[in-house]
Amino acid sequence: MSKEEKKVTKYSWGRSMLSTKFNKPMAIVSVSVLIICLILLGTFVLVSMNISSYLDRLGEANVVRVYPPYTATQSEVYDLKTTLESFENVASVRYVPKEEGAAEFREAYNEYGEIMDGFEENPLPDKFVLTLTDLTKASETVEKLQQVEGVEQVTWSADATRTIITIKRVLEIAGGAIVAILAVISAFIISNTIRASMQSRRLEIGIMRLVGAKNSFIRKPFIIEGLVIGVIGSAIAYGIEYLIYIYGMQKLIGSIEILKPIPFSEIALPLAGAFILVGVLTGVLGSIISVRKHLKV
Amino acid sequence: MIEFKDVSMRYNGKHGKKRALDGVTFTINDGEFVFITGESGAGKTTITKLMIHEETASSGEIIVNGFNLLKMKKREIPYLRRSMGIVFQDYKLIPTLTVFENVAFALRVTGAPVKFIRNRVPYMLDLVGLADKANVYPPELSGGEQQRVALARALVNNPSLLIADEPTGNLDPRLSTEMMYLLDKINEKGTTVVIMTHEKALVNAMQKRVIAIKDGVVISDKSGGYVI
Ligand SMILES: Nc1ncnc2c1ncn2[C@@H]1O[C@H](COP(=O)(O)OP(=O)(O)O)[C@@H](O)[C@H]1O
Ligand SMILES: [Mg+2]
Repeated sequence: MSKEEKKVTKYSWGRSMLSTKFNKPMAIVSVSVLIICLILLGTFVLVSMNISSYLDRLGEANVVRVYPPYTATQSEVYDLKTTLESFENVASVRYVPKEEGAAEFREAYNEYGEIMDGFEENPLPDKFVLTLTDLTKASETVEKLQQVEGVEQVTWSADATRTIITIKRVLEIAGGAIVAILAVISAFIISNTIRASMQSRRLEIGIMRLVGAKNSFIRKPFIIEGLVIGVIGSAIAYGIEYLIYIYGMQKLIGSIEILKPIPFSEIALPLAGAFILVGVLTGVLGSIISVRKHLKV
Repeated sequence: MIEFKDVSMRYNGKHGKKRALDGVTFTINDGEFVFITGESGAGKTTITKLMIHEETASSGEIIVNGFNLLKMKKREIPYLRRSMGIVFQDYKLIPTLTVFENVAFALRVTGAPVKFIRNRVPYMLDLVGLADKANVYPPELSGGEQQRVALARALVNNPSLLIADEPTGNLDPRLSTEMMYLLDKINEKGTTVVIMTHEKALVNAMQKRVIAIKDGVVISDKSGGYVI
């Protein structure tokens, strides 16, 4: 086969398999809407992830103090530490002997730290400071800790924990709602684009049928068109989101030291996955909706 | 094989119901060459559309290549259409695809391999004498050339049955005769050929079986036939 012929065949494959006439303005509108939706979505998710991570680091909330009895011997304390370390839902265990506790107190309360000087002997007990893996199970864990042998008392800030859990839950629900709304909007716009594309190819579709094309064959280019819109949209949105995060959010949040933004590298992959998933799903879903509705035999 | 048993067709058009066929009965066996003739409006295109299940008969029974058309499932329709080649009265070529692509189209929808398409399409274009027009778009072709592209597309799947609706409608007498000669050759190779036409002279010249239709009714069916 000559080169010329080869070129012809290849060309024809591309033309017939992929939609011959992309409805360009409509496709651009679709991609843009998808990008805007994804950026809104991504920004919300990134902000709430940062809030979550900040809340997790908020010392007071995720701290459970476990006090051994005053009378506990060195080896009993050691045993307790081992027990606590392998305890369910416990992320970390730190032993704070009373001397260290006093020093921490002084540091935390500055001038009021002098209160400590009023005591002849250190009045603070030895303690273990625990952090939890899953805050939502804090009350159960605390209850169980109280049953452990060699534990005199367990304290934790239940209110702070509950507040944090509530905030996180609100963020999750709001996030879910936003994903749903934006996905529906994108899918709707994309399905309209595909419908326009099908209308401009009505003649071709009719002829395809008459020469024996199955529905799946006729649908394929339109599904691919939706998929392409989804992939292009999510790729562009990802790039923009990256810039927003690096130059916007990170600079802004980063200037307030305590907020410590999550580095982009840590969220790069999940964010990419989410964007591709949402983009591809809305793209394919949008075209399937359209094809189902308008390609009836 | 094609069997029409007491087939009637009513169109539900804008201007009320229109009876296009009434009690049409005939059998066309494998390997036959048959003309279905009649004046314009007699019902030839309607018969074509019923044969390929583009329209569904109002009553009666139609069997084509083993498919019972009034009882078959929708998803079997593509397989019915692949078992035959169809030349439409208005060609039904895609203006935005080249001649090569238009012919390749019918193979592609069946999922034929690219390599096969590359060999088969040029062969078909050669057969209908359009080898040099492979890269031309249909609107740049004459009516006769477009008709031959349609014929190449109809035959590219090597169907056992060829149905042509007015295949000489836009040809001058010399090209019409050539087209008939081509169809006769295809029939000699074993393909059943059914031609709808209103051109009496052509039918008379060919001396084949003729089913004559008038106002949607079969008025005669005889071989070696003349039409008066
Ligand atoms: N889609 C349609 N709706 C209503 N009437 C139709 C339709 N198609 C054809 N007809 C009518 O049916 C009759 C047969 O038409 P047709 O089969 O096209 O005839 P032919 O092909 O022999 O010229 C004509 O009277 C025509 O007006
Ligand atoms: Mg007609």
